[in-house]
Amino acid sequence: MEEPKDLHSVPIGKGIFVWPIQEGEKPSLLGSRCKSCGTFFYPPISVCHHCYQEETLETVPLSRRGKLYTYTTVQMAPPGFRAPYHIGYVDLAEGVRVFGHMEGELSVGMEMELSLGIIKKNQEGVPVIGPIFRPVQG
Amino acid sequence: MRDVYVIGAAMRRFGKFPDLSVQEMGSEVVWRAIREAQISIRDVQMAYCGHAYQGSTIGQKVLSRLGMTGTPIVNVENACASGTTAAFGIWSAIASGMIDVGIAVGVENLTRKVSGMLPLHPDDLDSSMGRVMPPLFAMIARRHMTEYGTTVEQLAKISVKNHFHGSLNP
Repeated sequence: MEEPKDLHSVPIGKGIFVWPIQEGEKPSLLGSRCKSCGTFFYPPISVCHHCYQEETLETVPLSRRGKLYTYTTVQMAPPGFRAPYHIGYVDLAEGVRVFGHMEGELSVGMEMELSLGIIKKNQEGVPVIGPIFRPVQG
Repeated sequence: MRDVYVIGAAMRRFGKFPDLSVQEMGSEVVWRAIREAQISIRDVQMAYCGHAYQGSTIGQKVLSRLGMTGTPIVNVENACASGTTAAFGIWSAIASGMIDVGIAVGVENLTRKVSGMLPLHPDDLDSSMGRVMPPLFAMIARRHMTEYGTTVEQLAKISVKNHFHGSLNP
C-alpha cells in the first residue's frame, strides 16, 4: 500500500520531526540519546560526541518545552521567506539548544512551547514545515 | 620553528568594482608587494590564496597573470578567516623551513557574485530555516546583553573603533 502523501507541504531537514503529525498528537523534535553515557544531541547524529562509543545512539522525541536562550527579528527576507519573522534558540531540558522560528511577545528566559508550521516556501512554491515556538500561556 | 618576517605588503582600495576582475585586482597587489619587498617573482616558492565565492583555482588565475606558474599554489576558503588562513599557511611553510619566501594573497569581487546578504546554505539546518548571518550576530549580541548587562552604547563603541581603523586603509 502506498503511504499517504501530503502534497501541500514538505518538512524541513531530514528526520528532525515526524511529518505529517498524527491526528490528536502533539509534535516533538527528534534527537539522539546515547544509551552508554546518557547525553542528548540535536539534530540526530551518528556517533556520540561525548563518549564516542559505537552503536550507542537511539532516536528519541525531545521535550516540547524549553527556555528561550536568545532571539531576533529578521527584517530582510532571504528567498522563500516573508519578513519580518522572528527566529531564536530554545534550551530544552535534555541539554540541547534548538533553532526555530518564534511567535508572540518574546523575552530571553521565558518558557516556550513547540509547534510545527509553515516557515517558508520552497523553489516550487510548496510550503515548508518547520519548528515554531510560542510563549507558554499563563 | 624559525622566525618569519614580512618583507613586503600591499593592498588596494576597498569598494564596488563591477568592471574589475579578481585577476586584475589580485595581480595588481601581488606585483606591488613584490616590488616593495625588492625581490623577483621567481624568488617566490609558494603561494596561498584566500577567498570566498570566487570559484575554483582563483589563486592560479591571479598569479598566472604575473607569469607565476610551476610553483605550488594553495587556495583556501574559510569564510571570514580566509585571508588569515592564507597568511597562516605561508607562515607555516616558512617557519617549518620548507620554503624561504612565500606570498599570501586575499582576493574577492563579491559585487559580481552576490547581491544583498550571503546566500543561505541549503544543507545547513539552521540556515535553511532562515538564519542569515546578520540576525545570527544580533542573537549573540542580545544574549551577551542579557548575560553581562552589555549596553547598546558599548556595542556601538566597537563599531566606531572598527570604522575608524577601516578609515585608515588606503
